[in-house]
This record gives sequence, C-alpha cells and structure tokens, in this order.
Amino acid sequence: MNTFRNAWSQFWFYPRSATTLAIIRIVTGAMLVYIHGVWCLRLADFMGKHALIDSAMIQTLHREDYAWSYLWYVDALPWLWTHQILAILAALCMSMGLLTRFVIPLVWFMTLMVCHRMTGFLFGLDQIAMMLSMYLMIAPTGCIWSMDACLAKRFTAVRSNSRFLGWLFPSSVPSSMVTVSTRLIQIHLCIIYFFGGIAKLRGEMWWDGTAMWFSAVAYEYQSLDLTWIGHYPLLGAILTHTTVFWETFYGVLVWPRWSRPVMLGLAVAVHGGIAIFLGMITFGLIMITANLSFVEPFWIEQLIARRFSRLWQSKSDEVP
Amino acid sequence: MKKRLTHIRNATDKSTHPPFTLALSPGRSESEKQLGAETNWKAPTIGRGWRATISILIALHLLAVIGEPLRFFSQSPVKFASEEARLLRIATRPYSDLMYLSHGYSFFAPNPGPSHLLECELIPNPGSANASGAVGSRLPVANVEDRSRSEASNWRVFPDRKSDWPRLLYHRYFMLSEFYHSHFAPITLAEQDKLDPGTLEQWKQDLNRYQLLQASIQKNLTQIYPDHAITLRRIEHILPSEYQILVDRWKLTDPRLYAELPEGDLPVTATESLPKP
Repeated sequence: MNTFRNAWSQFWFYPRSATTLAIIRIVTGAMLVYIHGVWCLRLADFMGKHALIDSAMIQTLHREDYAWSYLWYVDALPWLWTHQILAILAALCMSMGLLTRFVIPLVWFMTLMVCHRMTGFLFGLDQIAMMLSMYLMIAPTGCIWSMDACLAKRFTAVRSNSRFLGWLFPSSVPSSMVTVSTRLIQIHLCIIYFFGGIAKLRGEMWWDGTAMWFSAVAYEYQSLDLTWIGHYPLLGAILTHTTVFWETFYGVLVWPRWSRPVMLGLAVAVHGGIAIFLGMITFGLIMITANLSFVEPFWIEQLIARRFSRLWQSKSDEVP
Repeated sequence: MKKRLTHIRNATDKSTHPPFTLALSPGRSESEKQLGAETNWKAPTIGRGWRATISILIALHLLAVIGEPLRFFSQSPVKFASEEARLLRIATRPYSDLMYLSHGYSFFAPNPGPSHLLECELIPNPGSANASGAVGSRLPVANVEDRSRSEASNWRVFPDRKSDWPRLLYHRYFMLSEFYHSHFAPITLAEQDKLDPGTLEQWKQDLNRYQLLQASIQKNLTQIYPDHAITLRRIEHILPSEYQILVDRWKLTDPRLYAELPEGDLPVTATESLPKP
C-alpha cells in the first residue's frame, strides 16, 4: 500500500519546473488570441441577433444537456465586441505572462462561454485549446518567461512580505502543482488518442490501407495536393497503418523513455502533415503543443542553456 | 521502483533548477521521508491533506473525461450504451457538459467520409432592386436537371474557399455545413416507421430541430440579402477512387463528384455517425 501511495505521490506531486508549461502557455495564449480574433471577423454571423445559429436555436440544441453560456442571452453587437476584445486582451496577457493567476482562468471561462454559444462551428482545435487552458489554470505557469517573472524580480522585497503578492508572482522553484497540471494534460492526451485510435479501428479503410488516400482526396480539407500518394499504394498503406498503430498505442508507448521520442516524433509528423496538407494549421499546431507536455523541463532548459552559451561564445569570439 | 527513482534523481540533478526548500514538509509521511532520504527524491510542495483532496478530484475529473467517449463507443444499434458506461455518463454529465468535456474524440473515423456542403440559392423577388449582382458561384452539381434553378439566382455556399479566409474562418463554416447535414431529418417518414411510436416521436423532434436550424440560417441570409427568397440544399462531395483520379484524370472538383441530397422520403434508420475533427 505504501509503495502504491509513494508511486502515486511521486507521479502526481513530484515537483517539477514550469519551463515546459510556460511554452505551452505562450503558444496556447497566442492561439486563443487568433481564435477569438477570427470569431470577430464575422461576429454578427456567429453571435449576433440574426446569427446563422441564433440564440433560440442554440438553446433548443442544448435543451437536453447541462451546457450554459451567458452569450445565449446577449446578441447586441457592442456587447459582443466588448466581450471579444476583452477575451483577446486576456489571451494576449496569458501569452505574455502578465497576471497569469487571473488572466488564464478569465480566458478559459470566456472561451468556454464562446464554445457553448458556438455549437455547430467547433472542432478539435477548440477542444484542445480548452483542455490546455483549463489545466494551465492550476499551475503557476507565469513564474518563468513571463512579465510576471520580470515583475517578481523587480519587487522581490515587497513580494517576500506579502503572501498575496507571493501567490500572484510565483517564484520559479519546482512545484507540485506544475506536475499535477502536466500529468493531467498528458493523461487527457492519452485518452484522446486512445479513443481516436479505437474509433479508426472500427473503419475498414483504416484496415485495408486506403484511409490515407481518402483523406488526401477530401477536397474541402485539402490545402496542398496529396493525390500523388495514389501512385505509391504501399506508402499510403504504411502511413495509414502507422497512424492507427501510433494513435491506439500512444497512451502506452509514450511513457517509457526508449519509445517516447518515437511517439513524439510520430505526433509531430502526423499533426504536421495535417497542418500542411489538410489545411488545419491551427489544429496541427495545438496538438503538437499539447504533445510538448511529454518533454521534460530539464531537457528544454539544457537545450536553451546550450544554445545561449553557444551564442554568447560566438559573440565573444567576434569581439576584437 | 528504486531504479526509476534513481533515473528521476539523475534527471533532476542535470537540471538547472535552483535549489528549493520543502515548503510543506510536515505533510510528508514517514515512508516518504525514508524514500526521500534513500533516493534524494524531492518531496511534494503541498501537504498530505491537500494531496489527498487533489487526488480525489483528479480521479473524479478523469472519470468525467472518459464518460462520454466510453458511452459513445459502447453504444450499438439496439442499446444506448453498456450499463456501466451509461451510469458513468449519467453521473458525470452535468460536470462534463458544463466544462466542455463531452467529446467523442474521433478524428477521420470510423472512415474518412464525403464532405457535406450547404448551398444557399438566393432567388431575387420579382421587381426587387437587388435582383442582379452575383454573391458567389454555385456548386458544379451533376444532377442539375433534377433541380429548379433560376438563372437569375445568386449563391452562397458554405464553406467557400474564396470568400471565407483565413483558413480557420473557412473551417468554421465547413463545420456548420457538416453540422447542418448531421441534423438532417427527412420531411416525410416511411409508412413502416410510423408504426413504431418511439421512432415517430423521435422523428418529430428531429424534424422540428432541423426546420428550426433551417429557419435560423435563412433568417441570417435574409438580413444580408434582403428581397431574396432562400432555398437551402445539402450537397455531398463524394470521395473519388484512385482509378477516377489517376487513370480517368478527374479533378477533385469534377461535377460528377457532387450530388444533391434529397430532403424527404428516406426511411429512418439507426446509423453510426461520428463527429468531424
């Protein structure tokens, strides 16, 4: 029992640095700026009084579930613009790491309200952006690579005397809540891939190796011509089966050290392919960002340290 | 276990972390202290009580995350879901619905399927000032002879590669056209289906929802294009075979690959439909 308790505690609460989550915060915040910005391009069409799916319709759609949004009752454009501008500013602050303790929950909540209002227009991008912002809320991700970190340095003396300021501008020491947040992203991602994989296993095209072809010729998705893959049926079949295998077993093989680089490499390849060829750059990018949760913080820190030391060295060499 | 902890210790030692203190060390159990002493394992920065509370919340949250996909995958044409999946879904639904966690997580599954487009024909009212001026181009549907198209009509297609830019905006409209198709209910019900009260009731609800959706889209277009009568059509863009593209040299936009879907006279049957990515 003790062994289990220790293993559980180690898995969920072993303190870790927020470096990886800081990168995820920066990218997710920027993505949310873009998502809310795109809603603004046709705000009247999406949320206005005469929206394509109007307030009455959206409430009918959600009559039998527990979803709720205050945007069901707001259709005046000045209010909607105010809401969206606020959401964009908050997402911008999230990306820049300004007052992250407040702005990440705010962005998450405002995006949640938009998601419940925009039923019918949503896809995987919204699911993953919501997932990431939800888990980023619980960790002190503003402690590094952020304006919060700059402010914390500047007001070190004041911060040490105030518990509130200490919470608002957290120090960059490893924290258990960073681990909780990271583990939740990782496990949620494993669940997504597992169900995505078994959903594919129900379809015969993923078995007979033609799924890649039929994905390539879906004109509405296509952003680059991929029909040349039809000339190489063996390649198409290998890509199809590799995708199914990778997705189904991701949840198992991403944990051991020896297989993790392979699984993450395949994740970048699959989502990069979706981004480049199937026109879903945003979805591909957010999935790669979520996969980043499996990259250990010390690895990123070492990489950056090495890169910066090299830069520093080359600059020193240039000095006559 | 010891081997794994040693690996973590080594990994941590490599890091550039500043040294940190055990913020809530009184919360550590004896075994943890012993383990920490043996392996240099850094202790959690939160107390035991908090860890227990968080652990329970984590378990409940993850149950909510798997609730909907489990229900979805355990359903069959004769059963809503397996018993345990149904109970789990009932218990977690308020939370997962509210938190936007009720997803099936199936991308391009079970098979990559045809795309569904929404073509809106905007027919100018006789004598209206807006009777001319093209809004957009219509789809190259092959079975055009079955349709009463007016030459004077304008068109709005969801999604439209030309007008719906950036790509995310295009994808939003694409999701709308797929959503519209997924909510389709035939305007008439086959006689044999009417005999089943459950099917009849479900059909009435589905049709009502579909017609409300139609009305909502028409109302939006009427605001943008006043003095037009609006007809909505579901168009299926069929996926071509390798032979059609590579041997017969069809383009992906060949009119023979587009088909208008009928609005009525379809039998209501239980079909598996998975959400699009």
